[in-house]
Amino acid sequence: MGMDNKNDSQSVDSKQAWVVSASRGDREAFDQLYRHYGGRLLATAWRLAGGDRGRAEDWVQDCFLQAWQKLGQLRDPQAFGGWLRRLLVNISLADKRRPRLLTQENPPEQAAGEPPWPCADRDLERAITGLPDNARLVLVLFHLEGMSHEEIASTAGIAVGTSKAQLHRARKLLKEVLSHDTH
Amino acid sequence: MTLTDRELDHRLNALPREAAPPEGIWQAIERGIRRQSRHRVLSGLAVAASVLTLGLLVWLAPSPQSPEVEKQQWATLESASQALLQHSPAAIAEAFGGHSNPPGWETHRAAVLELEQAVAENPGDPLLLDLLIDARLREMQLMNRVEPEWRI
Repeated sequence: MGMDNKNDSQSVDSKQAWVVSASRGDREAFDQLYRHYGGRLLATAWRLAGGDRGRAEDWVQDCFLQAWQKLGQLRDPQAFGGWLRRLLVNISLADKRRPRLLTQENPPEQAAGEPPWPCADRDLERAITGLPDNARLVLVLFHLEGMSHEEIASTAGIAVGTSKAQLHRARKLLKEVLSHDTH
Repeated sequence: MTLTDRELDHRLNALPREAAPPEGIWQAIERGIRRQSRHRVLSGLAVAASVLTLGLLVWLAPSPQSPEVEKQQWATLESASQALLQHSPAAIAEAFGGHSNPPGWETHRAAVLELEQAVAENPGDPLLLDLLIDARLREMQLMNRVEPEWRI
């Protein structure tokens, strides 16, 4: 389950054509790419950001700006979705490593807000946003983005074994929290 | 009740994978793209203008030079001038799309066009080339003097 499986009715050809046109500076084509991939990327970013919508939107914006700058480096237009997702993960990891200045606009960690989509399983979403950063990253990429441990390890710069261990930890924590909630 | 692995997988699989892409993010992306292309054009102009200025200083330096060295310098100057001229008014206008011109821009553009025509008619004239370089540098100063969004 990758970024490109989002809308089966959207022909692969037109997505590739948008990528090629955008890499030549066509902003309309890039707009189409945003319409197609932006929502999916926002959902991933929101979860990776632990439910911080402002941060998630900043990451999506940075991600598309970097994509616009670097699109010429992408050799295979078919790989655009995965490439975009890797950019997002790198942006999120870099942002988390950066010390944050605590100001009025940038307060200390807050409880996760509502997901930016109609949500049927709020308890699970809340439990995911409450996971430790590394465990959440692996869980989101493995279960919700359909990435393998090898892909996660290479994208996040960790060992495959670490990815597996973090997934195990994330699932254990989720089961604990959700079992507790159902009592 | 303890949640089983199967139940957890089922609930994870049922989670939505996407939100509607917000219009506000796209508008911010568009503004960023415009800023990037403006910066690219202005950086290109700045580099070309610096090369030209340096070339001209070397050219005008009162030192005895062999005809061969002079020929090389002329070639460098000419290629730098071409690089500067590549940033056509259309490319600059595109980069600054949607924004008003800096004050004095129109008058200055007309002068630059006249000089460009004169240089095209007299390609070997160092005085005309000097004037055109000055005019192009002035163009950059005008861009930098106005609103922050024009600045390099």
